[in-house]
Amino acid sequence: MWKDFISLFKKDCQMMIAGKFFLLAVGSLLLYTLFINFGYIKFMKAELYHVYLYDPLGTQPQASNLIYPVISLKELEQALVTDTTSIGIDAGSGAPDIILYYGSEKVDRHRADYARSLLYPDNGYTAKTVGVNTPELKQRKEITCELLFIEIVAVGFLGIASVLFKEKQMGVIRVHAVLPLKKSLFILSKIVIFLSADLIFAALMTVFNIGVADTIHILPAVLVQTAILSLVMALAGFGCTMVLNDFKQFSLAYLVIAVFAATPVFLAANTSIKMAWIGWHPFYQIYMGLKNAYFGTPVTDPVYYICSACGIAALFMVIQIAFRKEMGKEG
Amino acid sequence: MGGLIYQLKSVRKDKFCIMSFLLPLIVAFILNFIGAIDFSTLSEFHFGVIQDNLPAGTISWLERYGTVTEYKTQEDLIAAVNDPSTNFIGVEADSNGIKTMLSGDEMDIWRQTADTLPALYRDYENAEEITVTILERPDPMEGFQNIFIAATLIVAMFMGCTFNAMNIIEEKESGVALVNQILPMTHSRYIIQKIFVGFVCGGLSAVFTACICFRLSIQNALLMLALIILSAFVAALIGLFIGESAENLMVGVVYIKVVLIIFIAVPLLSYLLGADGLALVFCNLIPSNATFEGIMSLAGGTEQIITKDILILTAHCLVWFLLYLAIAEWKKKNK
Amino acid sequence: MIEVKNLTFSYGKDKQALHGLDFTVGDGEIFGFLGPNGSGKSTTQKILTGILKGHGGKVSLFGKDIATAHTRDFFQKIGVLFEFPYLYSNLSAVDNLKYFSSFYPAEQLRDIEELLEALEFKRDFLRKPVSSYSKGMRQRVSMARVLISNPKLLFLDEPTSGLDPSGAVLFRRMIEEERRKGTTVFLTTHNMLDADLLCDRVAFITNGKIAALDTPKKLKEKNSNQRVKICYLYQDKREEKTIEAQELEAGIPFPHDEIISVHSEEPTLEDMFIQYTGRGLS
Repeated sequence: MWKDFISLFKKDCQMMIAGKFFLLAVGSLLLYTLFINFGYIKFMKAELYHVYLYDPLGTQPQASNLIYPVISLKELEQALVTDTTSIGIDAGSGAPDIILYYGSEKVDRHRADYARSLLYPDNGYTAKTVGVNTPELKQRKEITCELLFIEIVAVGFLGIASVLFKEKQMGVIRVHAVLPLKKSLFILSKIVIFLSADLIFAALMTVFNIGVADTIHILPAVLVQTAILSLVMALAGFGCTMVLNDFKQFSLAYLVIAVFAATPVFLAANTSIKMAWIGWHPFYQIYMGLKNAYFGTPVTDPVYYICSACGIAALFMVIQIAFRKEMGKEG
Repeated sequence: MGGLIYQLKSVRKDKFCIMSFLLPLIVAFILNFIGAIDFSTLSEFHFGVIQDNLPAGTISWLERYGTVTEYKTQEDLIAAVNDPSTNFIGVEADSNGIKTMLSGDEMDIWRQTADTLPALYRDYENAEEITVTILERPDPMEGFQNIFIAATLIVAMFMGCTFNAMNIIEEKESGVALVNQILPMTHSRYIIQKIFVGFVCGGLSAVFTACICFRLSIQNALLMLALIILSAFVAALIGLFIGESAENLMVGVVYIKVVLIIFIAVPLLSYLLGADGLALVFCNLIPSNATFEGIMSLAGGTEQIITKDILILTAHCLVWFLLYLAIAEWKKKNK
Repeated sequence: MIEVKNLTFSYGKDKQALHGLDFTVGDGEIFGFLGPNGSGKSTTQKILTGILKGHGGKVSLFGKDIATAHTRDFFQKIGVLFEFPYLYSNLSAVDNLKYFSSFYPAEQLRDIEELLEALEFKRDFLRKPVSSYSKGMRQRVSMARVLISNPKLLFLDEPTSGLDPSGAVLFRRMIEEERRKGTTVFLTTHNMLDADLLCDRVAFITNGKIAALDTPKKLKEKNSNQRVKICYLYQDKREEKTIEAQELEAGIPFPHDEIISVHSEEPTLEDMFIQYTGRGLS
């Protein structure tokens, strides 16, 4: 059996190399790393609102140096129009008037109070820090997690399907039906190869973008979550290939899965938009598992792992049935 | 032109093409729906407090700025603050005032808010009255919505590329391409036939999408139509290139996806990062950049620069068309 | 070797494919299943090779009931040639054969290059990818895949399909050689020439039923009209005459200068097929 598995594994590796899968994976890794280090980190900044002060009479001498002085009302208006989250203070008449564009009720209250507080700044209080990450590290972890999720859900899923559709087209699946080997090994060898590729990808992606020192502590948990996601997507890709007739039909299914399944997950996980049913979305649970692994708080609930294992086992059994059906089809 | 009818018939039954045609329309409907949802709460603050730690008045004060969530113990509060999905600011009592806590990985906006919160609280009751004037501004989500609409319109126009590429690849795979080579059909007729399907379908998809998303004046509607026609034509041409160069369906799908990503990503990045100079010239090498700019101008009411975009698109149409003819000629000579 | 009793199979509620087949195949025999598309040939072969399950009736292979027969040991003893040459197009002939043969015990295997040479495969293409091969070359590699493991039981589906006449002759010779080695061959085809030249016994199958089963010779003899057509020259004119075979016992019963040819008016297998089933082979 081991010898058969090695033969299948070698053949699958050859197919992946011929299909330039590994090349694509390396290219993706490079692209993501460049994007994170030279794009995302540099651009993802969000400062608190800018405050502009028009004070021709110098009535606000204690104003904080965080305030931007302007020399005319027109300049003040222009500043507010350009940056509608900013706050203007018109102290032209002596008493300060706060002017701002509508944002939302609560946020506007804060903006107004904040602007007022800058007129009488205090000696610089700093909030207590209770975590271990820096803002940059958090951003790196977040984006690495998201890109890894996208890579496995979108790209890996497509990868296994394209290899299988090629084999389906060549008709060689039928030949495996009459070879002296355990049929499940055919499925297993593909799953193992994609799982291995995804694990290596996850490890490299994490090391390159988070750094070796920070990676060491989180890598085992990250790899466990990656393995769960990779297995689910590889089996789903395998199943879709068996059930659907050609790659074109698969493209439609892929579009639905990649966009409509992943979009609510990203919305729920990264913004405060929370749908009531999101907890039942399997991708959401896996994504949060991965994200928590990156942030050093891996999932410890055994129910999660039991459900994942059961899900994967159920998928595997369904795919075995679909695979046997495919083997019996006409050329 | 009887051949055109059969080309359209073949595309009409193709689920991939139907889905490609309908997807932008579906997204357009959704975007219109999203326009009605209030996203303003996204920017509100979230505070975490420990049960019975702060007076009711302080909690009411915090609720002026955002939502307040109570936790049983300090450990629970710290866990909530450290949760990477949230940007909770932890607030505890400190003598007569308050103190704040953060995870330490938040962006500046939350850090600065947490740093200034105790001072705001201290000054709240003693603060003199200051008049606050709140100015009306257009829907803050409108800017984002216009970007999504523009991206959707580009996808709609791009459908022509998908249609043409799929059509040619399928002909190759089924062997019809070989039959085409021995038919008494002139090369120009072949090009017209091939471009027509993608151009019409992509154009129609974009027109319907634009009708769903925009209410334009007659003049602006004509400008939009010009943008759509030129973009759909370029997209249809690019579809021909993809169809000719893809060895099989799978490769074709990958090429289509890569081109689609470039078509959307380049204009988006150019718009968001404010590309100018050489960067803008480079971005305009991608036809959809001019389309995107034109749509954003029409949506934002600054129609003046749209003429430049129409000229850029016209240049793209000519260049791509001539390139296709040149390559076809070269292939013929080297057969 | 193969024993089939009352074999039935249905693809669904209203799609009965086999309506009670009965036949046996002896050791070392070449048994032909002759029938048009949709007659149940492939279904029968798939059931025998274990690809399709859920049949009715009793089937035994190598003396074992089919329910327990499809073990690893079983697959090591059989070779299956499908209707189309299913190969990895990105691999060469040698790599394809190395891959497929890796699942069999090493001691059972034949030498790849020797086998391809016996199948008259062009040496230049040994290491080139299958995607560059012609149909005939792919069929040769497929046949090599089937024979490489020295199977005891061969399932061949349209073995000479896509081959030129010399290729077809070669394949028939290879199949005959296998029979001489004691290999049992289960041949499904709608090529009556293959069936006529190769098969020890032939079964006509149509609409899931066996219409006739006997040796090709006996099937033709049963329905022969015992007449002979003679082509001859007489007074510089070419003539043809058909007479009863018995008349020849006394010599040629008509004047002639030279006999050009003598053909029996024996029916072909296709004629017999039409007679038994009421329809043609295509």
